[in-house]
This record gives sequence, C-alpha cells and structure tokens, in this order.
Amino acid sequence: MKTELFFRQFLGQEEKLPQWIRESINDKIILYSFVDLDSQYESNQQWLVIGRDNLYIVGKSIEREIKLAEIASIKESDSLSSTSLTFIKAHDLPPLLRVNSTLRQKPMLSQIKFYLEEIVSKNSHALWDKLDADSQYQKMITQKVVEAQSSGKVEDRQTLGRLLTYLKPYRKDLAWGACGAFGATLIGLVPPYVSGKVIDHVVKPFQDGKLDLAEAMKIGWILIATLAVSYAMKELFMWIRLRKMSILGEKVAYDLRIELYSHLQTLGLDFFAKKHSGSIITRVSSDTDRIWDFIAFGIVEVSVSIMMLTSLAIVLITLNPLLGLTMTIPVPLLLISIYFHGERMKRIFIRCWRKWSDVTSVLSDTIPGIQVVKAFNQEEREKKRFHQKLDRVTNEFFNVHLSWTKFWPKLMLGIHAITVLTWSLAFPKLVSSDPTLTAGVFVSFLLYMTMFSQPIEIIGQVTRMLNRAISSAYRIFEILDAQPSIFESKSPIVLSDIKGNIEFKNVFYSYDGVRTVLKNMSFSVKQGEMIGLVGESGGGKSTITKLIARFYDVTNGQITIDGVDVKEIETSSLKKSIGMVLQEPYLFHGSIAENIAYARPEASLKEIISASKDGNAHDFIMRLPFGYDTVIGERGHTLSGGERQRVSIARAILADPKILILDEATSAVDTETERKIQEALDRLAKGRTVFAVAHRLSTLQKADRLIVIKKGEIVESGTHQELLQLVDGEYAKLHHMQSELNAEFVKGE
Amino acid sequence: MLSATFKIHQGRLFLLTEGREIEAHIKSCFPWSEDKQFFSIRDSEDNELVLLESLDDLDPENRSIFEEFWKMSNFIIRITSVNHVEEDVELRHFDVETNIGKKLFQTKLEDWPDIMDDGRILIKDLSGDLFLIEDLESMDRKSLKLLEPYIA
Repeated sequence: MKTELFFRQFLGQEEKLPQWIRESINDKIILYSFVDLDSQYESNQQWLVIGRDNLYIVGKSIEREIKLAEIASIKESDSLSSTSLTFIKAHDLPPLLRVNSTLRQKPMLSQIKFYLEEIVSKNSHALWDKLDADSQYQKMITQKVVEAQSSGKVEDRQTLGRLLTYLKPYRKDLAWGACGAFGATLIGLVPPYVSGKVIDHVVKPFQDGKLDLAEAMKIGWILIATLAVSYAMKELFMWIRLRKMSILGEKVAYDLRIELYSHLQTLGLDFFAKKHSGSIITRVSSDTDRIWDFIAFGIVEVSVSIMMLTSLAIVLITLNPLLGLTMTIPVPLLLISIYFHGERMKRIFIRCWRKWSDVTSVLSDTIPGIQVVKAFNQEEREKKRFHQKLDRVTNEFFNVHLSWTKFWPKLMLGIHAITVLTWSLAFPKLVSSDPTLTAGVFVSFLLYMTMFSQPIEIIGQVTRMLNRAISSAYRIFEILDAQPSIFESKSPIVLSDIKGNIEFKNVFYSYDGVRTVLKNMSFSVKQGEMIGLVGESGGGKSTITKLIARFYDVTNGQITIDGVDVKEIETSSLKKSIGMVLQEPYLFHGSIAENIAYARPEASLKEIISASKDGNAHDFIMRLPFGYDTVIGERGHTLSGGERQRVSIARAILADPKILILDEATSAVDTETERKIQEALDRLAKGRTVFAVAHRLSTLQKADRLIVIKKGEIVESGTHQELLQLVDGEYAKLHHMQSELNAEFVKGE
Repeated sequence: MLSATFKIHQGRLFLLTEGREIEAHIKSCFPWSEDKQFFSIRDSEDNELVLLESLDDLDPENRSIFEEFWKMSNFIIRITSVNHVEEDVELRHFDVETNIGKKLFQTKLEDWPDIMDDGRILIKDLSGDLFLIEDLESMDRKSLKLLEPYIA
C-alpha cells in the first residue's frame, strides 16, 4: 500500500512534512515529528522540526524558532496516554519549550531527543548525516502497524493472483480437476431431464394407450439406462475432481511449507526478534492448511456452484419461461439473506472468540501456575473463575446454535415457498382441458428445485472462505517476502583452517539504524587469547559476540578473522569455526546423544562420551534411566539448568570450534554447579580464541585480557591486575562493589 | 495533612518540602480501580517522594494545584462515538470520534477492549494510546451496534 494512502486510511495524519513548511524553513531538515496535543492536551496540528542549527515549531506558520546550541538537556515524560518533551536551557531557568503528543508520536519524539542528545555530546554525526527525515518519520510512526501486520492492508487481488501461481506446476492436475467438476455439474443436470422424458414419452403415452407395451418398455429401458449411466458418469467425474483437487491442494501446501521453512532458515535474527515464534509456526502449519482447504475445495466448489445455478436457470427458463423465472428470480434474495445471516454469525463468532480467549487465559494462567494455586489454597476460587468464563462462552455458543437453527429452517421455508408457488402456477397448466405443461416437464422442475439449495449455501459462504484463504496467503507471503539481512559474498572465501585472530576496525553498529550500540570500536585479539567482556547491561557486550558470529553485519567499519573480512568468508566455514555457550542453552527434542552431536551428526559414540566427560556431563547423564538415549527437550526428560548447560558445553566441545563465545554461561546456577561448569569451560577454552561475557567478575579471572564496555565504547582494557590498579576505573569500581557484596554475604552467614 | 506544598511553573509540577524544591510528577497507584486515592509523587529519576493516600490530605490550595496538574498528566482519549470498526489481517481498525476530534487507530485482532468493573471500557491501541468509553449508555445506536461484538 502506498505510504500516503496508508497514513490517510490508517492513521489520519500527514505522511510527511508538508511542502510549504520545507519551503518556509531555510535549514537542512534532519528530523521532524507531528505534535498532536497542545499545552492543554487538546487536539493540535503542529510540527516539531529539527534543522541543522535550529528547532522549529510550525503550526499555520513558523511559531517558534530555537537555536539547538541553546538546548542543554531534554526531558521526556510519559503519562497514561501522552508523552512530553521538555527542552531545557538551564536548570534554574524556565524551559525553552514543552511539546505534548499522544503515544503514537512517541517513537519519533524519542528519536529527536536521542538525536539532540547526540549533538550535545558530539557523537556519531556521520551516521545522522545519512538519515532521510521522511523515511525516519514514516518508519517510526508505522512501525507498530507494520510489526503487527507487515505492510498494511492486503491487496486482495494481488495476493489471490499470486496464490494461484502456485498451481502452475500442476496445470495438468488442475485441468483434470476442473474437467471433473464441470463434468459432474453438467451431467448432474441430466437425471431430472431424463426423468421428465420418461414420464412424458413413456408413462403417459402408455397410460393414454398411445404406446404399446413392448415399445414403452424398450424406450423406458433406454431412458433408465441413460439415467444409470449419467449417475455413474457423475460420480466418476466427482471422483476425478475430489481426487485430483485434494491431492493438488496437498501438493501446493507442501510446496508452500517447504518454501516457507527453507526461507525462514535464510532469515537473520533481526526477523525472529520482531516476530513471535508462535506466529511463525502458525504460518507453516495452520495457514498452509487453510490454503489446502481453499484449493482442494474452495476454488472448485464456488466455480461449480456458480455454474450450477446458471445452468439451472438456463435449463428451467428454456423448459418453461414462466416457471423458470418464478424459480430463479428469488435466488438473489436467498443469497442476500444468506449474506446477512453470515454477517450476523460473524458478530456472534467475534463474541465467541473474545470470550473463549478469556477461558484459555484462565487455563494458561492456572495450569502452569498450579503449584501457586495449591500453595495458597485457591482451588475453589480458580474453579469458580473458570466456571464464570466458561458460562459466558457457552452462552455465546448457544447463541450460535440458536441463530443458525433459526435461519436455516427459514431459508428452507423460503425454498419450499418457491416450490409451493411453482406448484400453484403449474397446477392449472397441468390440470386443464388444454394442458400447456406436461407432467414430465413438471417432474423435471421439481427435481431441479432440490438442486438449488446447496450452491446457494456455498455461494453464501464464499466471502468467508475467500477472506480466510487470502489472509492466510498474505501471512505466508509476508514471510516469503522478508529479505535476509545477511548475504553470502559473491565470491566467498573458504577458510578451512581458521586460526582465530580477530580484529575490530572502527566498528559502528545500530540495530534500528538510529541508536548506535557500538561506537567506533577497535581492538584486536590473537589466536588462543581469552577475552573477558565486562560492563553494564545494554552496553554492547553481547552485540560484539553476535557481530563476530555474523548474526548481524556491522553498520560501519570492519571485522576480520585471520585478516579476512567476515562478510567475505563463506558463511558455512565461518559458522563451523564458531561455538557458542549461552546463558539459556537450547536443547532440542531428542536424545542427549543427538543433542551433543547436533553440530557433528557423524561423530562417533566414543567422541560423544569423550566430549561429555570434558563437559562434566557424563556422570549425570549416566545417572539418567536411559543414559545417552534419554529423550530431553519438549515432552522429554527435564534437566536442571546446570545439566542443560553442561550438555550444551559438551555440544560445543564436540563441534571443536576455533572461536568460542561464552555469553553468561555460568549465571543463574548454584555455586557447586558453577564450579563444575567452570571446570568444563576451562577445558573447552584451551587452544581457542574465547570471548566471555559475564557479570560475575570472578568467572573472568582467567581471561588474558578484559575489555570494559560502557555505552557502546571501550573505556578500559587490560589484565585483571592492571585494571584493578586504575583508581576510579570502571572495572575497579565494579570489582569493589562485587567484593563488598560477597563480604556482606559471608558476614551474614 | 501533607507537610509539603505544590506549585506549577511553566507547566511543570514542583514539590516544596524540607526547604527544597523538587520537580515532580504524579502516578496513580490504581489508575482504573481507584482514581481518587493513592498517588505516588515522584521525582525526575522516578523515585517516590511522597505517597499521597487521599486528596483529602491536601489543603484546598494544594489540592487545586494537584488536580490541575493531574488533569494534564492523566490525559486519556475519550471516545464519544464510533464511525466504523473493521477486521483486517492481524488488525482491527477503529474509526472513532473523541474529545480531541476524529481518530483512527488499530489494535491486534487478539487484543480485546477491557471492560472495567464500573462498566467503563478501555481500548489500548498498537502505540499504547488509551481510548476510554466512559458511558456506554450515552452512545448512539450505531456506535453501540458496532461495538456490540467486542463488549457484549
């Protein structure tokens, strides 16, 4: 969807700074934000514009102009549903300016605050110069909607058209399925016609004495045989249709699942950070299922129904125009009534959905938290709560049934009314001195009439079916359209024997393109060196490790391994050379042996046991009932945090990487477990280049060098002893603080 | 009575206590269930300066200053009528008239309006903006019909 339309339809605000404002401001526009509340929290239509030298408040004209140099600090404060920026020149002076906005504008106002603070501290000018004010504004304002839905409203036709392209490889199957469907429809019209002919050309002439018995029997048997053949043909065509289309639907769903899963593997961590894993799983499972349903039945059912109604109308009007029109004219009315019934049902289903989510939230609260419920003796209260929610949703389910059970008899009554009307019009024509309608034609009419209700019902449901399929297709294409953020170089360098020399050269990194997480970082690490990364949370320590593993690419600067830019190294050889032990190790569903051998499935059993011994995992594994064959992970045996960590260390040992990343590997475990893990890590670290991130400084004492990171910059570097000697140094402060805590703890004991 | 006084200067609230003048802001402890009691008066670092149990603890002058500032910082958008509600892929679009004019906003499909014990209805949009329906009964029939699936 075009940005302009998106802003107008979804947000009700301008998609960019109006042109006349740009022309009025004689300054390079760096950033701007819409200001939608005034000082009294009433509706407002102002713009806050940041130029290279000045800040502007623009309403119907430029109302305020403040030199950026005058701004000493900016305060951001949020209330329930608004945010404010206060621009301060000096603490003891009134603020220069205060702007209020709804929370929708907050991301952009925060960017402005961040930018101005950067200007004040004279940092990262180079990055800011590259920014485009319009795209920043649009990105910040739309990001919540885009995250929720990716790119605004679905372009239905495009999505449907794209979905249908997945049928291309199966044109032959599709042609067979379509032939089956149309053949069954057309042949389905034959039996009522033949039944009429039997009456008019055999039964009646015979009863009137116009046809002798032998001739009547002969014609009768021919017509009965025709009936039998047409029924058999109809079912044959139906079989072709069902078989071809249901298999075809499965094939398309299979293709989509394979394409989706393969594409997911190529996407960077940034994509997974934005999407809930549950949402991605749903797309691979339920959404592809819906597509199967639509292709296997939806497309054909709808086409067949339209064709059936049209054919019925043509046949009936041809047989007898008056009766034909009597029967076909009410059809649109029936369709309209089905549509309105659908709309009503939709509203009830929304209520059901809402109330059902209340029920599931009680379940998802209490089942995992059952220990707390029991500990506080709240079983009766929870039972009551569940009853209340269940009563509410059950009443809505009753409403669903009350509604459809009321509607369908009414609809059938409408169809019966048409039958009665047809009878009342037909009867005088049948029973008269000069009959203008034959009994056979009338019987054909009655039989055709029974064929009306099903296609009407299917067409009534078409909107819902189509919407469901399009929304599923849209959700699938959203993932398929996501671009990987990490690309393989055109001529990648295979480093078969990585030594582990790493260098950061003036590295800048920003996750969102604006806030710089790493600022001009340079350091080099020799092979086999152990580096401890120390500093406050959010300072950029983990980001350094993620850049080495190339989960992300640097924004500016370069990272080299053995002198080669990581971007140029073949991804597979890079990943093989890097091992990671994380704070919360992830183990897959499978045996312990499979988990340890995850990176080297070809490893021998001896190697697996050896790695486990080095990882201090062998002993506890052998205490499990099935040893290395014990199934762990989801639905499997539960391991403690320390045990999981030792399995993950064994996994890293077996992978034998040249570069090892330990990210808070020993936090969140008890002292004895920590000792065992630390022993295992010491063995693992030997002969490798190691980056260890840890808050507990005691775990980093064996590091050859410590790098202290603060707000994305290296503030200190050296050995433990060297850093302790820096008076007022960051490391010395941290160490002192932790030593005091430990001393207090010991004293307390 | 609270032994501190308030002042509003240039749209900012200041608490004068023990001879010091500290810039402050107010947070309600129970913004929905009890909006007349228990206010946390906090400094710019978001540390609590005073816990005000009731507005009755303030003398009339301070109470008036407090209420004036609270009105501003307790800003919330109030829906007066609903023009349109539409379900879309992953999103529910609302087109509403509010105390600050026409507003378009979105919620996730799985996020439902919150019906409070006193009957007020609160809708939180994707940006975190809060939209309050204070008196459902006073809304027009069209609005009620559009809201019905989400609140009935």
